[in-house]
Amino acid sequence: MSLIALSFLPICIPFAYLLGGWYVGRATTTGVPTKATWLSRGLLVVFLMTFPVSYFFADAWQSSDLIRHTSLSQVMLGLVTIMGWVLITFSRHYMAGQANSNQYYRWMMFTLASVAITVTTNHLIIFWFGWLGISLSLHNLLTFYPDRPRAILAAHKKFILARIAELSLLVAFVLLGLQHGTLYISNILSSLTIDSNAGYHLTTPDQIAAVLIAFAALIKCAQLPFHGWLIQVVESPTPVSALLHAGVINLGGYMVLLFTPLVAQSTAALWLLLLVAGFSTLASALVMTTRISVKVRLAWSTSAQMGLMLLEFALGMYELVLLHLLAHSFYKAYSFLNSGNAVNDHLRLLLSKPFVKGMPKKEVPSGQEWFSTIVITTACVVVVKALFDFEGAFSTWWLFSLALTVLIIQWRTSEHAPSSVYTMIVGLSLCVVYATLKKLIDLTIPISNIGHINAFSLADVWAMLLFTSLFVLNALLYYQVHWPAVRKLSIALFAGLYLDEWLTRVALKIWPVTLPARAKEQHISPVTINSPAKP
Amino acid sequence: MVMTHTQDLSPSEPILSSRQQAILTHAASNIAPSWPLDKLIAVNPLWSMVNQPYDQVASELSALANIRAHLPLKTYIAWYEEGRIQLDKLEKAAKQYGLTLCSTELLNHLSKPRFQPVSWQSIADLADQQRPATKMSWHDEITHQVSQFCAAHYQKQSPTLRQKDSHHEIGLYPHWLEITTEDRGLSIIMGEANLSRFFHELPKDQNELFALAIRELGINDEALAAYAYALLLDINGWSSYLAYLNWPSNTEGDQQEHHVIALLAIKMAWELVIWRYLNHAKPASLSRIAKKWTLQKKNIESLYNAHHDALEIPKVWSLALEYSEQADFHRILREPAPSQETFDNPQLQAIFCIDVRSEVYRRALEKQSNHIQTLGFAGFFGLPIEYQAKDTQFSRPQLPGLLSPAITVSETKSNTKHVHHQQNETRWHRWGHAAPAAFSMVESMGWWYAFKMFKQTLFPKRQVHPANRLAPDTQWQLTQQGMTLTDQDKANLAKGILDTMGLKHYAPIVMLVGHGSHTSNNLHAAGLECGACGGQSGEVNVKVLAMLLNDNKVRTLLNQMGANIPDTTQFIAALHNTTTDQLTCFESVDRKISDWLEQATYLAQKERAKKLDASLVDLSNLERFHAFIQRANDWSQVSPEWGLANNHSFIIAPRHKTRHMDLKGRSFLHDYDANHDPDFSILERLLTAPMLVAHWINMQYNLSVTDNYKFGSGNKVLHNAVGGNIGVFEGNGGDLRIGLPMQSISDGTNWMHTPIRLAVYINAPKRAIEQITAKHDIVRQLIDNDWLYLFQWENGNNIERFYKKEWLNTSSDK
Repeated sequence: MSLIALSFLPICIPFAYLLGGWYVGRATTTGVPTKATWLSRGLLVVFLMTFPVSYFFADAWQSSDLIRHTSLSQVMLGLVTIMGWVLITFSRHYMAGQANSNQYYRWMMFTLASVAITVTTNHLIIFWFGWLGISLSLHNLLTFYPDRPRAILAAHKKFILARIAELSLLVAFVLLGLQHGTLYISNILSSLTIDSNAGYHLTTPDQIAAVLIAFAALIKCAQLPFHGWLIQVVESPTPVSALLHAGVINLGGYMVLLFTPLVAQSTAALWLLLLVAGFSTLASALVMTTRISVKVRLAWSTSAQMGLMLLEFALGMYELVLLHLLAHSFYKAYSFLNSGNAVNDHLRLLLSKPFVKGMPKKEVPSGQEWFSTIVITTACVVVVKALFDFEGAFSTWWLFSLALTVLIIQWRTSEHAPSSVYTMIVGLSLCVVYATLKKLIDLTIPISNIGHINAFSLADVWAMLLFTSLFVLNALLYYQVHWPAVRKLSIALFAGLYLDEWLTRVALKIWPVTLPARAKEQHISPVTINSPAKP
Repeated sequence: MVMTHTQDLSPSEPILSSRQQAILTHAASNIAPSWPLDKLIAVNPLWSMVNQPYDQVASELSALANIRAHLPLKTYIAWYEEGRIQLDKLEKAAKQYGLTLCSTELLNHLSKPRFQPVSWQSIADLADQQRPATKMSWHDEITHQVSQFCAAHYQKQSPTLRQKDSHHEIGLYPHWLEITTEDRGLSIIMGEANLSRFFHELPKDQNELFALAIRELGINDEALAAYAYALLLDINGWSSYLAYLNWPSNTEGDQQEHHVIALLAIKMAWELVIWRYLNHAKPASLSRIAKKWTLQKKNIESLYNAHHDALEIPKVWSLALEYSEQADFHRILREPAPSQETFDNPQLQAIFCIDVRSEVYRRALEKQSNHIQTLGFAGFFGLPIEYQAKDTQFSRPQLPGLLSPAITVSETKSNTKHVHHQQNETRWHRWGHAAPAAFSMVESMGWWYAFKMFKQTLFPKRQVHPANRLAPDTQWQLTQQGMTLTDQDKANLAKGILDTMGLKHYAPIVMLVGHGSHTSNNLHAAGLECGACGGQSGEVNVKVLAMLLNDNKVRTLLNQMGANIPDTTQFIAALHNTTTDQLTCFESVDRKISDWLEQATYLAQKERAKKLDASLVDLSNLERFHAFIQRANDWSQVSPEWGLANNHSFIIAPRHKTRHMDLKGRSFLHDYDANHDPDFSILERLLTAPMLVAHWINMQYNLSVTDNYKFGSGNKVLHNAVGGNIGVFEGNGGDLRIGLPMQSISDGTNWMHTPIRLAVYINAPKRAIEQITAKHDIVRQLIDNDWLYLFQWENGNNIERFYKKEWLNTSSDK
């Protein structure tokens, strides 16, 4: 009995945020920041207390068919609760003095509540409404400053894309519901798993649903060419960016993981992911290096990181998807909140420049150096892979060995190079940490056995090809930027490959939006954000 | 500059005349510099205009770019109703502007909002008026494109196309042209096909471009002056940063290229492209634009006049506000000093920066004992130095932005551990930012950020400036052009400083107190540091000066030169933390002194808490102390301190004249005793250096309040650092934002700074002031063109204003 009661505690998190959001958003509520902080703390405590129980007794306490008690859901709920606590605590002083801050807390809480509902529900309809709630409440945060034309344009694009994603998801869910005769996710998944184990292939409606879910995930994860809004919504307060990048955008990854038995069986869905997410990973990572402002750079990086996450899914590396999802959330949230330290990073770079004044010499490593480094890192990676007994696609390991190559080359050519032995030890440790974390997630949060891909299969080779191109192009852009062809590429990358420009124009054509006053007119009659109305 | 390619041109190609060239150069020189984030110092953004009367400049800026130098009418009226502006002052101000009405009529007249005339319109603005609201505006897209491009061109974090090869850099305009010609995205986003063709047709040489644009747009010399200045003001943020690159005392960036003119070329190229494009694609629209354009060019004079007239009301209010505040302040200054003990034999002398934040702490410290004497002096302590971190390429000036460093100081030994730590951090940073490595970094090390985030949320700790305190306990090496300074050089340097300081008697302990601020996660942190030290902590300066003055050999030489420093006197370097009001001594001091300092900290914090966070006022000293530390460490704190907000005066007088007054942290204080300055050379230095710095700070605050869009940096929660240290965008893009963020000047409901021009009070004979003013154009311009008020504050506490070579009595302002 007590276990059953306890099992309802996690769902008190979304409900508490819903109620809290309603309460703090009222114009008459005072002391909102403090109250919101206490609520987020309390919910964190609730989660931390129930998590061990719910993790170890997940099967024993299926209290309601509406709630999903898998470890994956619990981990996602934890992520939301932790982010809620960090971001609301951060906002307390950060948003002090902003007009309309009650509304800010309201929509922040509604967004958190919707995410929490989406990741804990076992019911398709609730899932869909949760999904809808996320983008609607987020829309209010993105347009928190309604007088900023670029914010409105970005939110408008996001609005259109979100509706498309929801529509695909709705169609997919209807198909699934009709096909399987149930709206409970667990029932659908188990019937799919049983069919798969029995050797049956997906039916056509299931195939279509899989592709639609993959498509919705691509839009949610801001993959090219649906990425523009993500880049432009740095027009909203920093904690909103942190929430978006750490707690909302990765839901595409959660959704494909949730529907693994479905999506992983559909070759069409997988290749959709392999192609679109693969291309996004490559292009966004390269565009990222040409960005000049800290937040925009972070935003492009998110688009690339989410691309890799989806690519890893398509390669059957589910534990890696989850590892990437979680690690990226923390990394990105921290980076956004900490973006006020950009000047210190810059000063550190200056401090590390060589003492000799004059022309900064940029040593171009020789072909031999590149080659020998790659051989060493690949060997290192292969050994670790074998030691940890990993199966499946090789491409993610190949990516790791390329990253280690970059590390070694960078450190060896840096002005204050540490010793080679030290560099090698660091490289090897990174590799071991990576393998350990991968193993750990694999053991603790089982996801599915369906759809694992063999090393050097077509998908694997495609991914390796992408990573290799990324590596080569990046080196060219760094070391040989004056070659005419590289110059052309660099200019195109600086322009963001024009993809967003097309999308913007199409969006404005199919659904025009009246932008708020242009900068010039605003300056004449300013609607400044927190300028004292009547000092 | 004469064109070099003349022989290549066909005879019909227009050539830029030297007159036109001069007009363009003049327009570019109108822009004041704005320092990058790591060296952020206050600048009067209209510094290049002080040779013209303030009101005239305000009208011109209003006419050309709609820039406001006054508050909105409703704010003044609200302040009038609160009693902050008095009726008699309003009448006086109105009379000044030739308005003689009875008081009710006057109030009526001054309460009616005037129609705001339109300002100068560029071709892009005129084209925007014809554009549907669903299409991107030309003006905003140009700003975005030019701004993003400038950032890419000037950033030094990753290799750019600017570097054609290792020896050759392209200039701003040719680089822009190359990139823009290739950029097909502009056509797409604007929804205008074939736009790039028109960039292809632009001349490669910027002077040819100017000549072409001037001819095609039909601009005569008078219009060119207005047009060029308006175009630069339109992208004021970047103009100001580029003006910094050309600023004489700046050592970074190349001085040979005239960056601001190149930016002007880009802006004009855009205008020409729109003109030609519309001519080709939408002739009907162009002919409407052309008609307005011609009309506008013809009526520049009346444009200026219309704006001049429209400003009449705010000008009166603003002046009345200044008169009201000054009258209140004069009442304080006229209060006779209570009879007090003499402080001939102080036990502690502490010399602080003139900064307004020092006043609060000094007053608190003086309350501790009558044996404490404090003095005000420029915070860089007269040392014309740059700091060069040992064994690195990193160096930074530690003196006011108006001066160039002459001496380089370095540690004699460096702390390799600290440096290695920084280099290690950089290596990781670089790896994590490389495109192929970023993914693996997240997968292997991403979890580490969770710890960092929890740590900052639960136990906040601020990230210290990476280059401060590279070596905490070290001696300093002083070099000038590569030569180490001799003892005699050092003694000469120290003697000059001591003379300006005006110390005649030395206490056993003389504290040299620099100041710095402790804020966390703050892009504008340097703006809160010591402005006189070039936006850095004053630590290096006080440590170097204390070392010089404690050096036995230097001391002997000094005493031979007549300094008379007793052997028992010890100079101690100290740092005043303006965020927490803690005072740290870099040498140990005895118990009594450290008690005084601690109590003064508590007292200053208590005073500061009233404005910072009212909930701190009722706490115990210790609790409040911890709350202050916590604020400084909090990574989410956007208003860690109020900086120099609400500054309004600069007092050049001996401290004993102000010691009994509560100046509320609004006054810059510089000690000066005319009796020890027979030839007034010290006063001359004060009026030509510290006074200008105080004026820069005052104007930066004033204009950040009156027009935060052009001269302030907007909302901090949207700030987005550009190119590491270049500046900030508000959000995704737009112009580079300069000046102070909203969170530094407003608490969300009230302005924390009252925009009034600086009032300078000098305790010196009238003839001294007259002489110096006559000698220095810049001082005369500041006074006579109404950029500041200058008063003589006589020993008998009579106050007279010096204006246009005349002395005006103020005693009627009771």
